[in-house]
Formats: sequence, structure tokens, C-alpha cells
Amino acid sequence: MLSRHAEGLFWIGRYVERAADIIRMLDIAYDVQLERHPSVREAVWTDLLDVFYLSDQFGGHHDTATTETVNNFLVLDESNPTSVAHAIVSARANIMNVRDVVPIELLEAVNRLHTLFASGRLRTELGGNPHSGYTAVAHHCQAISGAMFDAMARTDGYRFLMLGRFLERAENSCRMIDVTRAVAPTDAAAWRSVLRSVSGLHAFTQLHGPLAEVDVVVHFLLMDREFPYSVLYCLTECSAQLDVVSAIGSWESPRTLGRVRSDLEFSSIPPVNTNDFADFVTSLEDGIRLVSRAFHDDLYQFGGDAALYSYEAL
Amino acid sequence: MSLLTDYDPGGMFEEMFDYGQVRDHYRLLADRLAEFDVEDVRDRMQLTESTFRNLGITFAVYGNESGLDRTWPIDLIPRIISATDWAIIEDGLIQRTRALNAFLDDIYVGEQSIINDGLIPDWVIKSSDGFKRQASGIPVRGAARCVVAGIDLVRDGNGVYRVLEDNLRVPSGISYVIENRAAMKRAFPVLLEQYSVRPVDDYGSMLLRALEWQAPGDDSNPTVVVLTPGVFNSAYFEHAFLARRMGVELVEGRDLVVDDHVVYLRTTHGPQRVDVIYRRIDDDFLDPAVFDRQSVVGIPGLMSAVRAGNVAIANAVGNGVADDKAVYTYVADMVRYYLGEEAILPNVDTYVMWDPDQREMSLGRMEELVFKPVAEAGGKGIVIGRTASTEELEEVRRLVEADPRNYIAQEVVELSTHPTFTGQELAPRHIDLRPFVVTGESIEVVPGGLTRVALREGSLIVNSSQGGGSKDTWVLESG
Repeated sequence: MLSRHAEGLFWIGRYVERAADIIRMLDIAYDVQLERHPSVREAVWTDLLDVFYLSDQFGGHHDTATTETVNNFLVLDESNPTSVAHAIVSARANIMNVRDVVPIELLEAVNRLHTLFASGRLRTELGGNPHSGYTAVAHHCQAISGAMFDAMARTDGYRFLMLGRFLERAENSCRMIDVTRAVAPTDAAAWRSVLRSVSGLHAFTQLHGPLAEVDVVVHFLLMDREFPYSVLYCLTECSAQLDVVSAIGSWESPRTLGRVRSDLEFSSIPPVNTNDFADFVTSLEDGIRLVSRAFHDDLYQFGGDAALYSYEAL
Repeated sequence: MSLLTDYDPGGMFEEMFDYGQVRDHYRLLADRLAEFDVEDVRDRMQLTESTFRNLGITFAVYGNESGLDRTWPIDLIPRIISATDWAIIEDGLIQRTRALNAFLDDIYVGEQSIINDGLIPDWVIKSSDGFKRQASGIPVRGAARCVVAGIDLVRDGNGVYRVLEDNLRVPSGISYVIENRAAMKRAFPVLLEQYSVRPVDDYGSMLLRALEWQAPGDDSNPTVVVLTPGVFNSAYFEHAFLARRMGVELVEGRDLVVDDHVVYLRTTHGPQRVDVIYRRIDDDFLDPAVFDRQSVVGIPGLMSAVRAGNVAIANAVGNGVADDKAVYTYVADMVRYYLGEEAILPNVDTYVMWDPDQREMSLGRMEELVFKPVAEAGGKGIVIGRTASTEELEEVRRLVEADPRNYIAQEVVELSTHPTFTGQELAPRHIDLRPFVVTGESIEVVPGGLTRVALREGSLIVNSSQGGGSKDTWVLESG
């Protein structure tokens, strides 16, 4: 596969996952703040902005964090590189660049999501009932996943897409853990929100019941082998793809990933409310970023310039 | 009320009607349209447009803010060509393509006998922008220098098909032919079923066969790629479409590298050798080492690999000399000279401006003629005398006198008209036809081609890059 195509597919995977992740987190935050006293409602939104390390940037655009301003910033503002709009537009730009190697079904699904945003329909929906706006995006993302799953041969193209998706997801799960650790390490309700944000509350409750300790939740989010949003699950998935697509011996990223993954898999997790845990999560996040960088270098180790449509920082 | 009740065919040659009577091969269409009202057609148009948008079937119009995302414009009233008419057109196209290929081969690797025998002046050839010295002495298998030719046809006031121009460099439009048909299958399935229309969607294998035949060496499974300038090119959709249909990679210049006169793809598993490049980049941008040094879409060293015989590129370099609009005036001579036949498809009457008599005559009746620069494509620089302002005509006069080699004048062809949906009604609009001719071991013509339609009332400009629309073209099975 062409290096440029591989990169494009990787980024489509990342951007689609990013849009889906952000929208899910917004939906939960919206839901949570509805039941909060008006005086603490804003805190729900600022906590969410913290997950993306965006509080300062947000402050430069808006005075107060409300459903409306956060939606404008995190969903509709294309100039914000960590917005749903930016993810959608970038996913589409990338798919146009690799349209010869993706199935029509996938192209069409991405274009439909793009039309939802570009036609102004998403803005209208969010202005009416935010939840139905979030749901619309989520459904489109599920349609895109469905097209990937149903219409693609399990060749390198599919694997690069999945690599992008699961690497993005691993980063996202990590970030949520990191922020919750920082702002409300012992608050069971906060951790329950994290679980909901990754569609994991039901799976968790089935496994551990509704009364489980915070450390059990964290362990689940980091290490569960069956839950598709746990960091370990995501990294295992990434390994499975990388091992197949990489040029044996000459790629660095599979080794980097292997190290990060075994560091996670074979260590005992420190208690949440400790500095050791903070260090543990930070080094995990750093490790994932290193994988992404090594992957890029691998793609272009035979020469050539990286494509123009990627945006590394989140 | 039926759509056709109030149709006024106007005064031109009308494809569907002959003095108010529906032509035989349009009978079924007329019957079907009689069952439709405006809303029916409008609904189908909307459905088609949203399908095209979701599939990303676009054609960019440069200089237009929203150009990048312009959905391909199709008019759902099909243009129908009878089997008898098509048989003549097809013969004419094959004949013309053979002659043009023979001419190009004579110029670049032959003895230039057509010049030596005095049929075409040497300076006309050498002064053509499309003539590339860099292509001299580079042979092409089977002299198939135009693997893909798009030869634009118009019908004059008497219904005679004439060649308006030859496109022998990177003609585009075939993907829209195929997508238009797919759209018609969704919009008018019953009508299509009633007719017996020749299919068009075999193009991918037709083109791949012709390209693989060009592969150097005897690898039975050569690597073919489509080379595009990138996503911002107006025809990018088509480039991707063709790569998909052929099952080959769509590459940009940066995906290729030349090492020791061999072209390689940059893949995730290292370099992979390339045998044939179907390029959709103009000559001047192909290789910054021998053409335009500023080109960022080309591949340095590509021409050296071609010259070494390690890679074939299609269409060949230098074809522009044969679709130069001044050289066009010699095509009938070429047919006679190389094939010993008379041209089946006539040209449009054309005057070359370097000839003092023709120039004087043309500048004396500018209002009646069309002036065109010889090397442009896509309708660029064309001035139609009767609709041009005095200032525009003066500007043309100045340009012609400053550089007569660079201009031709043509008699206005009153392009035939065809019923076209305006959103409110059916009205006559001017159309042309771009058929596609593929030269491999043998020459094949896609049945029909791209019918382009001037959407503005009275306009003669059908070019897609000038905002023209399109129609599906149905060639009927014989018998």
C-alpha cells in the first residue's frame, strides 16, 4: 500500500473516532448537568474542557461555559482543532484523498456526516435539543463504523483505519482517566460518568455490580480485556493491526507499542489517589504519543513527504 | 399537464423532433414523458443530486468559491443516438484516431514524411506549443500514442456530425458517462428497460487492457498506476474513479521516485516497480528535470525512465501537436495521406490566421465567426463574434494580429438542440458530444460518450469547466 494512502486511512480512523468520542462525552456531560444545581452546572462543562486541556483556549472565546457556548466551541467551531466539526471536515478531506482505496459505502457514510454539519442541520438540531444533535452525529459515526466493518476486505487499508481508531481511542480513554484522577479521584459519581462516556457503564455493572470501588472502575478502564474502550484492549487491537501491516524488522512502531503495552499489562496499578498513579497515567499517555510518532516515521522511512492533511496534536 | 405539450423546438436542428414530429428513436421517450409532469422530473432530479453529493461526484469549476464541491450537473432527459447514426460515427472516430496516431508517430519517431512530402509546413509543427522535442525518438508500442482520445462532435444545422476539436492529451469525462448511466438507472428504470441501450460500464477493463499492452518487458502482470495532480484538480473525482475501476493505485508525483531510470512507488513495504503510468498531468508538469522546473506535481527523472524504455506513459508526451487547433485543419489530409481514405467525419470550416488572405477575410467578418486560441482546452479564450462586445472584438483583433499562429477562426456551428429540463419546463438547449476512443492492440469506442449541454438559453458554450451540464447518451442496439 502507498505510504500516503496508509497515512490517509490512519487519519480517517482517528478523526472518526475523535468525533464519536467527543460527542459521546458531550452527551453525558449535558445529561449530568441537567440534574445539577444551576450554581454548579458550569463546573460540569469546565471539567469536560479540562479533559481536552482546552480551558484556556475556551476562555479566549467565551465568558461562561454553558451548553450553548461549549457546543459552539467543541462541536461547531471548525477552527478549533479539537472540535467535532474539525474532525468531520478533516475526515472528509482525508477520504477524498484516498477515495480510490475505500469502498463507496464508507465514502458515502462520511459524506453524509459531513453534509449534516456543512448544511447547517447540526447547528439547528443542537440549538433545539442538544441531545438529538449529539445522537445524530453518533448515529452517523455508527454508520461509518458499519461501513468499515461490513464493506471492507481485511487488507492493509482496513488495518490502517483500525490502527487510527484504536490509537485515538486509547488516547481518549487515558485522558479521561487522567483528568478524573486530577479533579475528583474518589468521587464514585465522576467515575460512573467516565464509564458512561465510553459506553461502559452497563458492561461494568454486569461484571462488577453497581457498588464497586473506584479502584475497580479504574482497573476496568485501563485493563479489561473484553471491553473495547479499555486502554489495554485498544493497544492490543493496535498491536494486532501493526504486526500485520508493518514491514518486518524495519518498523520501529511495533516495538514501541509492545513496550507500552507490556508496561501496562504486567504492572500493578497504584491506588488512584496517589502520585504514583498520576505518574503511571502520564507515562502511559506519553508512550501512546510515541507510538504515533514512530508510526509516522515508519511510513516514510523509504523517503517521501508526509501528507498534508494530518493534525497531530489534540 | 404533460411536459412535451408546450415544447417549442426552436429553429435549430432538433435531436428529438423533425418539423414537429417526434423522430422514431425518440418515440418511447416521448410516450414516457407524456405520463410525467414537472413534479415527477423535479423529484427525480433532486434524488439524483443528493445521490451525487453523497457519493462525492463532483467537478470543480475554478475561480468559484464553492467550486471544489460542485456536484456534477446532469439533466435527466437522455440523448438518444440510433444504431445507424452510431455506426457511421464509430467508423469515423476509429479512422480519425488511426490517422492522428500515425501522424504523431511520423512526427516523433518516423521520418516526418508528411512534412517532407509538403502536406504540412515544418514551421507549423515546430511552432506548436504542443510539440515536445523531448518526445522525439521515443517509440510507443503499436504507435498508440493516444491511448485515450476524446473527439468532440457537434451537429450542424443539417444534422451532419462534425468534429469540433480533438483532445489527445488528457481528455476527461468518461467517469461522468458511467455515473450518468448509473443515475438514469435509478431515475428512469422503466424507460431504460423499454429501450435497448448499449452498456458503457466496461470502460475500466477496456482501458486497463490497453494500458497493460503498453507495458515494457514481458511481465504478465505489469503494475499500472493512475497519476493525478491531486485532490484539488477539477477532474480528481475521475482520476480516483478510473483507478478504482481498474483496481490500480491512484498516485501523486510524491508517491513516485525514479532510481537508475526505473520508476518506483513508495509503499509501506518499500519501493515497488511501476510499468505503466496513465497520467492525468499535462506534459509541462510531468518532469521538472526536462519541462517546467517549478512543477511540484511531477517526478524528476521520469522522462529519462521513459526514454530508457523502463516505463510507458499514456498518453504519450507531445500529443498536443496533433490537437493544436491549427494542425486540426490538416486532419483530413492526414487521413488521406496515411490511410488512403476520405475522412468520414468532416471538420468545422476553419481559417488559419497566419494566412494573410484567410486572416483578412476573417477579421472582415468577425461578428459571424468564432475565434479560438490554438492550444487551449476547456473552452478557454473562445470568443463568439456575434455575442462579443466591440471591446472584446478589438482585443481579439489585436491578439490575432500580434500572434497569428496562435489563433484560428471558425464558422459558427448552430449546435443541435435537445429538450432539457430547466426546473420549470422542457426547453431546447444546445448540446455536443464527446465520445471516447481507446487504442490498445485494437481501437475501441465507448458507445455514446459524454453529451454536454449549455444550460443557459441560446448559449453555445457546453464546456463543463464553463458551467455546462450533461446528459446520459444512449446508443441503441441495432435491430
